Amino acid sequence: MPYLSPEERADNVRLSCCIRVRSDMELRIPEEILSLREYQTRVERVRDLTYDVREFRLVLVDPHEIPFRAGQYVNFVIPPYGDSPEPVYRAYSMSSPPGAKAALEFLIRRVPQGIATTFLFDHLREGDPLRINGPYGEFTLRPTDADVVMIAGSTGIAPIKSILDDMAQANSPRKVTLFFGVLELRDLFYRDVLLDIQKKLPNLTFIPALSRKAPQDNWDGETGLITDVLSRQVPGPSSAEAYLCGSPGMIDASIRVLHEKGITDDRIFFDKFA
Amino acid sequence: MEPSDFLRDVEKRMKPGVISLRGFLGDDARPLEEILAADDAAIRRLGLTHERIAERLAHFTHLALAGYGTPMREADFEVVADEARGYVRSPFGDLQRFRKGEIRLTNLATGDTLTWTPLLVHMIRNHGFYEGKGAVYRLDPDKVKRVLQL
Repeated sequence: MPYLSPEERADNVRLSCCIRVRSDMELRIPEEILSLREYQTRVERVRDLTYDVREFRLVLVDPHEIPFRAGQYVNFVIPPYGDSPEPVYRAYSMSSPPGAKAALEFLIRRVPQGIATTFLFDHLREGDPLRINGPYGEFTLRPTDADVVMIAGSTGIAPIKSILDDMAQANSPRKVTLFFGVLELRDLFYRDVLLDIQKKLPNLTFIPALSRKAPQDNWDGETGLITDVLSRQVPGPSSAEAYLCGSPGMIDASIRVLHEKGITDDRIFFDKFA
Repeated sequence: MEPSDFLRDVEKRMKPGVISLRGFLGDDARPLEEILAADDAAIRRLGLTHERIAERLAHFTHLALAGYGTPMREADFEVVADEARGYVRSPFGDLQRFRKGEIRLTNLATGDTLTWTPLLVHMIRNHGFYEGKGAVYRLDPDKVKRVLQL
């Protein structure tokens, strides 16, 4: 089966152009697909959060609003530029809540030699137009009363922040523990933003974690691999739901720990940065 | 000798902006088949094989990915993976997809470093391609042997 990752094949994903229909088949078309469309936006603000992470704020121009669910993403249409002769499409999750339909915020990390992020970091300026399309994705908070464990690696915090903002606006009483893992203290962004959300969500516990602590870092918080932090902090057996966003490696390793804590696959949801 | 149609198509896909921003050929003016032949000869001269080099790189790639951003150490080597969202395809038209990102290895005894991508490990193993001279992730065979202590 070409063009599918081992994980997709294991999940029984198949390309519709590569299968033959041999009997009656039921198709489920998510309703949101019918509302997918392209949007014209304007870059309102670009803000450096770390040496390689930027916050982009896009104002919706046409249409002037985009309905979406917290945790979803859109595709940026990166126009031809420099050595990139064709438009390319890249997915970025909204970090702003759905209530703010007229403007969207994104947290984007520069990818070495990346076609999209080189454009976004080196060419796109405030006031420039940018096309996006969407929204897409099913990485959204399930409407249950279960406690929630959230695990974000670097810019994986984007959809999770959107979900938390949405929960705060709805005065959600759900108990949430947020683990935010970055490499070093200089990579820890949005700490004040997340502490502010913690004030609005009294049942939110925010646990930032550094993979390593430099000698000059003034840090007495959690340190080490995120899996070690999870092992220490997540009690088991747990009936919680878990939401993860970050690199595939981080997610796979974290899921193994969650399994050890009794959190089964039907209660684990992730956006694997892929 | 005229390049095959296959290599001509591969070379087109290796140009900047097709699969990656800077492409895979750097500022190498040689045709692709010359690049392949030259590196193949270098590997033989060094008493190595593409498979052996790919195997060692794959080992360190696996080690680095297990740290998901945290440097991992094994003997005299430290490796770290910098993963990015998405997959990238091989310019050789292979059907697999490869994780985006790069692996950085430091030989702690000498301070020498190597940087490569998961895709490059595949291209070395399956096609004997180390990228063109001047390419961002080019692995020079002599340097690989020295840094990896093969």
